[in-house]
Amino acid sequence: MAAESSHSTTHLSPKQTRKKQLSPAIDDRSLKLPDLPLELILEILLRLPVNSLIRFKSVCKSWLTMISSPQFVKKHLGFVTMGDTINPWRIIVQTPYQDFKSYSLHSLFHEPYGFEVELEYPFKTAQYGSIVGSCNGLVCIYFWELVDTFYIWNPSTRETHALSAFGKEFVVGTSFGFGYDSPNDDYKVVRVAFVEGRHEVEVYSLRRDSWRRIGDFPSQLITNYFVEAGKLVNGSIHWAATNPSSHSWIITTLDLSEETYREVPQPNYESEVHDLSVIALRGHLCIVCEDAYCSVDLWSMNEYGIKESWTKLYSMPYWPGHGPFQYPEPLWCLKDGVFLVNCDGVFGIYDSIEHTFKYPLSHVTHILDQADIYVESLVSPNAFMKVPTGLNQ
Amino acid sequence: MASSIENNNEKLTLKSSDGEEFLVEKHVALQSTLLQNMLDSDCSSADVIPLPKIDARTLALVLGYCKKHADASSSKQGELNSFDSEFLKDMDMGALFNLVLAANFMEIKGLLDIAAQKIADTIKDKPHQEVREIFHVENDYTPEEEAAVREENRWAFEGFP
Repeated sequence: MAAESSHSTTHLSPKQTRKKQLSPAIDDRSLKLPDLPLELILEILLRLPVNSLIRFKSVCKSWLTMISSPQFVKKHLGFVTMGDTINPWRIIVQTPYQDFKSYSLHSLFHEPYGFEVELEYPFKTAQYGSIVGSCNGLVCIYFWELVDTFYIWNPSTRETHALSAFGKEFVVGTSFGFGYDSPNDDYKVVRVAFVEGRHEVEVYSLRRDSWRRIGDFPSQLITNYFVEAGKLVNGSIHWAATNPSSHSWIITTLDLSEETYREVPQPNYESEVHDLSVIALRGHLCIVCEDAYCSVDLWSMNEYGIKESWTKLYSMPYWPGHGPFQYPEPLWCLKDGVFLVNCDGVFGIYDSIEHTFKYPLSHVTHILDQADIYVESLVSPNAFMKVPTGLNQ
Repeated sequence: MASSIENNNEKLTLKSSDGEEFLVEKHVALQSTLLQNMLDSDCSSADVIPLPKIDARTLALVLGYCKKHADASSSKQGELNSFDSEFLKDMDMGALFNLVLAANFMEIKGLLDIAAQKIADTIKDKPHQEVREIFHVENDYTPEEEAAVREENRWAFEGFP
């Protein structure tokens, strides 16, 4: 790149050098931009949101090939999930009218607030749906109509995959789970149904596009009409359950790759636990527990599997209008101890350092039945079926 | 020579593609993995190091970035972040392209990150036709092919030409 030079001196001290950079003046060189090698174009594309990438497939054939390649999709996913920016993260909510909407997480914390997006999906006519979980930009939705029906859906690319017919009727007290099996590069859906005194478990593999029965669930799920879905952390689905003999709380996990059950050690609670649920918060396993109607505590397992790493993130006192059975479910944690919570179907922001609670968020109009966090990714639910593992990596 | 590398006050001379020489402190130059490797392999710091792909204007910017990051203590991440955004704020696309090329050549990861991100932020809401021009990309689609690719994701083009 030959360029005009305004420098008259040939030796610059570091001080002078620094001074020069303070005025990155705009000049006419921008009219002729240098060509970037493909590796740098890739670096730039990795930093673009999904919507732009979808449009930029139209730039030329080599961009289409690059953006569509499984390697790029994985790299982009790694980039958005490892980065510390909130921008690619969204929250999907299911309203009581059985439709799904989404908000950018950023818009719940920062101005301009609450930009709500009506999501488009092909199963709009289906009723009685619920969100099983989300992973790598894919959201698993479950419908109980005549028989259990599932979809794996990427709301950011609008691609959907209807799971192969399951053919089993809805059973009261069924729980589900959804996640990524990294060793096999596969996505799996888990269904735990309480049948004749046992918890029967079946696992769907997206790669095989079929269901398979595995060993029964080893502990006791609380069989309400609707059991909360298991939570994905570290390649395993986690449920709060009870030990069938001692009736004490345990956390049972199902490893999605090995399809085996384990138990995760719990923190040393400071008082008797009245109610307990597990959640996944920014990749960490967390426990929300109520101690005898006094407060709601949030524990986080900072190092997965290490009992000593359990840390109490907050102890939230009860406040007026907050019923004893509807404790706030943390959905997201900002770095500085500020949590987005779902409280009785309304978003709130709890600041655990200042002990303030903003509730409801005035800029969010809809009451939500369910909410889950997902990341904007290019992962396609249709790119896994009947493809040998090697070809997809 | 190895012992002199320890000396923080030592300086070395970098030469831009258009022949300008820049005297920089060694700890500033070490922000660049390329220069670090050259110094580690006992390349004499008395020599002038030519950087044939980087013009003087870009090199001055790169060294400004390196100096700030070399001098700041790691505890001042917030200060560095605001320096970075101020540093790139009014930069035009030409300067950004040169910067990303230089950061890549000199292996300065932090600078490559922020410059690539800035370019991405600038183009993300632009129509693809304009992006084509910015990157000098030839449209190798036939009109039918282009229409087909677009049709697949028509919804993403709402509000775009």
